[in-house]
Amino acid sequence: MSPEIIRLIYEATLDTLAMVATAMVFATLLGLPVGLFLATSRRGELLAAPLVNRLLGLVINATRSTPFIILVVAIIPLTRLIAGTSIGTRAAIVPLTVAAAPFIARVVEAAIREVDHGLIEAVRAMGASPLQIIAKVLLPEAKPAIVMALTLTVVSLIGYSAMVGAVGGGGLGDLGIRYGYQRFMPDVMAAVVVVLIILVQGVQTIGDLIAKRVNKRARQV
Amino acid sequence: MNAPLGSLALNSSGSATAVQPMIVFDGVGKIYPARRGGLAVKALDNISLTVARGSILGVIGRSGAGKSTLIRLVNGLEKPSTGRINVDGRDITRLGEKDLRQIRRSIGMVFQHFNLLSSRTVFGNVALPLEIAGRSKAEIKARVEPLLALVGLTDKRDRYPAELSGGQKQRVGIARALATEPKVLLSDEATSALDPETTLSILDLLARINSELGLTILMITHEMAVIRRIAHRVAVLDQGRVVECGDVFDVFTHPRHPATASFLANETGRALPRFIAERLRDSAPPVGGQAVFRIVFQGIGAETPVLSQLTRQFGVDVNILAGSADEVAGRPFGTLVVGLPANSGRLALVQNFLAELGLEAEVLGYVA
Repeated sequence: MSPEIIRLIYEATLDTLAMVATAMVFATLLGLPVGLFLATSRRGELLAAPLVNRLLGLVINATRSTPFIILVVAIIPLTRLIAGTSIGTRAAIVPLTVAAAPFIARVVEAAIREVDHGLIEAVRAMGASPLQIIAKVLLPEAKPAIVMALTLTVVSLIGYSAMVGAVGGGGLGDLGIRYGYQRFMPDVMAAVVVVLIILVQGVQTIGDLIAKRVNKRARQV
Repeated sequence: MNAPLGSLALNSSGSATAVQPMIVFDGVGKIYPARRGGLAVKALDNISLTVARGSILGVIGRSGAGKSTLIRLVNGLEKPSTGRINVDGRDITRLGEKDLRQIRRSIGMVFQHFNLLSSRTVFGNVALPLEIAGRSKAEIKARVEPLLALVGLTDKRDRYPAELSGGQKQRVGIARALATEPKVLLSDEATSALDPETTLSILDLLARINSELGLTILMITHEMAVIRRIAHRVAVLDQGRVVECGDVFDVFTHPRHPATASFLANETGRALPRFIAERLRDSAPPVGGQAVFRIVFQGIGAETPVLSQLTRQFGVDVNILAGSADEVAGRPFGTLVVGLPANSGRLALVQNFLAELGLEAEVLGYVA
């Protein structure tokens, strides 16, 4: 492989990382509160708002059932509005965020619902307000599960980011398609796949490590 | 001694509140509305109960009797359908959620499954109610450390619940419940998940808290042994109603309701062993045979060597068939089932003798 190709792979990797990281930050900022709300707003729950809960659920399901590649195209006007362009790495962040936020909301919801109801009752008996219950019980107790959920999201985003290459987003997917596929350079394709595997592996390992660290449930005596 | 303090309140101000009970249930009912396709459930029916300041009331009942609902009414985790509940002179059924939060800080609660936060250390768990109440870091530290000493967990300060035994977890639960210096402690089956030995140490801790801190304790349980060990008064809950309520010793020695008697059956040696029960008849056989007596020992009579006196004074052979001797609410109490010769003509004398000692003796029947 020529040094030039290696440089291309290196730059594409940085692009992918930048896209995934930025999209991840925005998606978490959006998805985490929504997931928290979903988990606590059914009838009889802390922030009971059953109607809003159901509406939000519908929107999330709709977003999640749209295939990513179609979502990318469908929201081009929105992408242009936010990023000022619909092509390139910067533009790709918008659809990635839009796809990841509902996903995060659902996995966070599931993580929060796993928290033992007895704990909520115990802190209610202490005179805690709903916000105190969320801040002092739900989030800390769900932390290991949330870390695992976010790790899962990063891994999915890495996969999605390869797809935005198809519509002019940069990164490894773009490189793989333009060089590996369109210019018949199977070694580039192979290199791209290898880098992606290493990325995913690395993210999963780091996520597992953090989850293990914040999980106090399974400590040895 | 854990004598009931009753109206001898700890409140030294001498005001009217000194004689006011700490908790009053007044005609309380709770109906859970019908769920789709189901029927409405009447969990509690016209409950009237009082818990005196500084006393321990034990509520005993089987699962489904309404105990959990009853205890959760006291801190407003459940709302009654009818009736009122007064805690320390305030009608908590009229309070909104915000006022209830304030009241809850003066009511500690311990749970069967401890309900400790796995993400917090022992210190952090005990500190939680103080954080919720908005106390400063320094205040929290000054309050938590002595509490950990009180429950004997100073050396586990920085451990996580997963590293503790069941008994240790419940000690953390108790320290946590005491953090905000409550006047009332609610104990929701606090020892039901513990082994017998640990149960005793937790009960002794609760009794100590009651006598040293003057805390009023309302405890629910399905175990008579728990009641007999530390409660002053007991209420028996059956199908949502209080079927019997009174001084623990009285209820143990003279249960009036079948539900109470069945709770006590294995506890006080009242149940007859099967090998006797199966052979028991109503009338004496023409020759030989034994009359089966149940003698209940309590108070002074419990310390008299009755059986050997019977043998010496009346020359009858006493055959011990079953029995138990222990203490209830700190007083000696025992039951003995004995067989005496049925046709010796001295049964009446024996009965008189026992009655003079102030012991209850009852002929249950005869065996051949």
